[in-house]
Amino acid sequence: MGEVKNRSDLVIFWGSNPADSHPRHFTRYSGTPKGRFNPRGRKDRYIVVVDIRKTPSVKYSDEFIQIKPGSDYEVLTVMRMLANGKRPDQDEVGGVKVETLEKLVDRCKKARMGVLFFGQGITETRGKHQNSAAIYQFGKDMAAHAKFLTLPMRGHYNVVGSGNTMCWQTGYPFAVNFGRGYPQFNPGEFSVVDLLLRREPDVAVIVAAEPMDHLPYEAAKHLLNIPTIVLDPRETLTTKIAKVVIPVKHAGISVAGTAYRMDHIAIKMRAVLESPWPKDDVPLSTIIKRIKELRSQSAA
Amino acid sequence: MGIRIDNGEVVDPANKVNRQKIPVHIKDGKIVADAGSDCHVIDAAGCVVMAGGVDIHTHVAGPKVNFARLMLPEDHRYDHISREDGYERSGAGGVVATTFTTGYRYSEMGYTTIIEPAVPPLGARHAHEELVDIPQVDKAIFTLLGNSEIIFQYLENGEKNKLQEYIAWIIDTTKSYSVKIVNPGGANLWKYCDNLHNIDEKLKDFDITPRDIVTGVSDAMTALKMPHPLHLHCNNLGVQDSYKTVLATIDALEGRQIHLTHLQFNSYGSGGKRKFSSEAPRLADMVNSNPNITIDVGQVLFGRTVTITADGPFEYHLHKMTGSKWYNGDVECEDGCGVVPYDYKRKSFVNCVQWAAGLELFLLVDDPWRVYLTTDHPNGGPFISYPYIIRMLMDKDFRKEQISKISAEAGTEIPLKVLEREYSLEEIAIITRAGTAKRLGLTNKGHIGIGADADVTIYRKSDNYEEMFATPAYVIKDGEIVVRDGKVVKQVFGRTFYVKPETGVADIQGDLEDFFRDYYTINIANYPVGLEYLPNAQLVECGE
Repeated sequence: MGEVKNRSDLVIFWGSNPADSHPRHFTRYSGTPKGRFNPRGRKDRYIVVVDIRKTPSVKYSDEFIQIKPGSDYEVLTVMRMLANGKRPDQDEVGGVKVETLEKLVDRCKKARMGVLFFGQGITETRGKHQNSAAIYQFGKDMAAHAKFLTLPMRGHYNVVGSGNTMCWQTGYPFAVNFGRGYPQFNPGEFSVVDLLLRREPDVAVIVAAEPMDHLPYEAAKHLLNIPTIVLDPRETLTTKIAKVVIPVKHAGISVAGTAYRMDHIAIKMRAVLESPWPKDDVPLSTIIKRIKELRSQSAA
Repeated sequence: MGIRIDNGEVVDPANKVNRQKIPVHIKDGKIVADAGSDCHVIDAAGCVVMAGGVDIHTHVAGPKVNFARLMLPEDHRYDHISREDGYERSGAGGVVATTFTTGYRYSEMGYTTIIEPAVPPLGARHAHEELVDIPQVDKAIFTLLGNSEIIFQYLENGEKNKLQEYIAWIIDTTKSYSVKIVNPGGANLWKYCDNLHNIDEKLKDFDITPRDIVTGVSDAMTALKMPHPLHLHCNNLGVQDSYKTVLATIDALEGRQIHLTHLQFNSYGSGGKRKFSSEAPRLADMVNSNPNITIDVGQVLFGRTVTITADGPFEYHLHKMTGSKWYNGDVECEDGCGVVPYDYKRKSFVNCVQWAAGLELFLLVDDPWRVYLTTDHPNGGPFISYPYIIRMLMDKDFRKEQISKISAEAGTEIPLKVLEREYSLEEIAIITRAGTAKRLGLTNKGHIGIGADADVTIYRKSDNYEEMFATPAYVIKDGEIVVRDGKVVKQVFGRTFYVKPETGVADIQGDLEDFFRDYYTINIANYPVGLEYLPNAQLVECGE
């Protein structure tokens, strides 16, 4: 993010609305801050928003490109063609004039450092991971012309830290199944939604997550039928359906620790408030210890 | 209770012991003169007893290593360790194994100390978090400083004292053991999609050259009396005529102490029909005639692996060449990195020359105290191949058999084909533990004299050296038996070494506050890595 602050002269937000989802992003990294090559801050950056609707972020941008819902992949593919010196047959794609895209690609090629931030408007719409792949491919195409970065606008507190820790301990960032005694990875089979839709889990331990609010109803519904143990400092929709709720300290507020920023930089968090509750690892370690005891008893 | 190892042939080159049958006594985690009568006795008849292995350069932790894990699910799928096999923690294997697997596998190979050599300052907190999860071995990190804009600023202004002060500060701030420089200046230029091509080429925004960077940082480290000298990955790595850059760098260093890392990757010329040749003999001569230089090899092995380096522009070059997956990361104000999976093929002329160049360096550097065994894990191949490499060094018939399997065209051209040298057990002990520990300045490692840490490996003698070094009969870490017959029997957690250079030659607090405010996105108060990230920290004193 520091290089974005210091060097970027072209910033594109695609399917991302930082004005609502990442309110500090614009002032700390991507919009207004002054840096080594951006002494005038906002004035030294050209900011583009690509979205299906006029989001609150648009008013902070220099250009808004409105595309038709679900057309991200087509638009990105045309941009890749343009980046590689080819032109499509039609004049318009996804409701946008090819000429407009041509100008944008040209800006990317001439940028000192271009950055494309993409959000859930890319990952959770028609095309899903194919859209992200198209964005990364566009970034690779651009590397032949200019410095160009593509960065996902990760949401949820410390989701990058969770991904990193899972990765160094298991080799995989999420959707890890320990059922065979070693980590296995298969999104589409072992991710939470898949497991719940198959009604496979017979107990759920939920730490710092809100499945009743965030997961598709059909998947979340299964949690009503099985015992659930929830570790959370707040009352949530999930604590309401839980069999057992263990209140824990709020990471980064009442307990010190480490969180990873969206660009994978580990940040030390201090505790600023007192809390009578334990840290997350205390109940979890206690549960593991007890399971081991019960196992050795049943083995004996 | 202590341990006594009887009847083993002790190979301890640091103490000039070579295959003598003398008992080794262990008590309270140390090598002692007498463990007393009430001790556990290991009968090491038919075995060789050495200190635990010390790896001077292996990428095992930190942001870019974790990106490599993330990028290679296919690599983990068929290689894993399970709790059912008796390990405390399961994990994935492959060329970039998970942290626990990494610790277990080093231990099962008889290694007890490893160095993660390339951590950008901003990645130090992450790297230390991973080190906490690497069991069985002692460890340390080196901090990457070859593309640091603060250092560039001080070099440009000729502020030597401030440079020295900054290096002391950043080493303490990152809880690091030494300094690594990768492609000095080149990774900075990569932030403009560019690179540097010789050591006297000027950077874009700073009126300095790679020559200024390596000499300036080296002088500051000497002034700080750091136990390990500058650890350098030269410019122009991996391309034709890279050896010329090495020779120019050595000239520029004018006799300063230097460790040239994975030199194999810099030992290429442009001779022959294919315009790609091994210049390892020339570089070996250079090492032989310059006592200030030590090297590790970075041996290439055939098969699939992944390249992980702070040399961002090189990784883009490799991606364009292979069409393989590519990750690039730029670290604010500090450095960059890249990850690209790679497959070294026996039918590739270039890969064969690379493979041979590594062995040539091993065989042509005369003094084993100045050449060390590495694969630049995982860049040349995974560390679990060390026993195979040892067999190629010790057994020339086996080596010739391996040469006969490579591309016929390369087989006729490589200087390796005429080399007859075989390493002795003593020389293997030097390039895998005694030499590396000495160069690292870890006085309690790499030997089993009285007072040393009780890190001991017992290998069952065999004519098949690969088997011998892959499955030690016993590994003892800090006086505890942790491996039997090549299998972990006890999980332990080692120390993390760090240094705290003493200085006070300049006041840089104001400069740092200004720099952080203007160019970083992290507050200076949140930047230092505290000792709470090193639960088993051990301070190593800088020299007198």
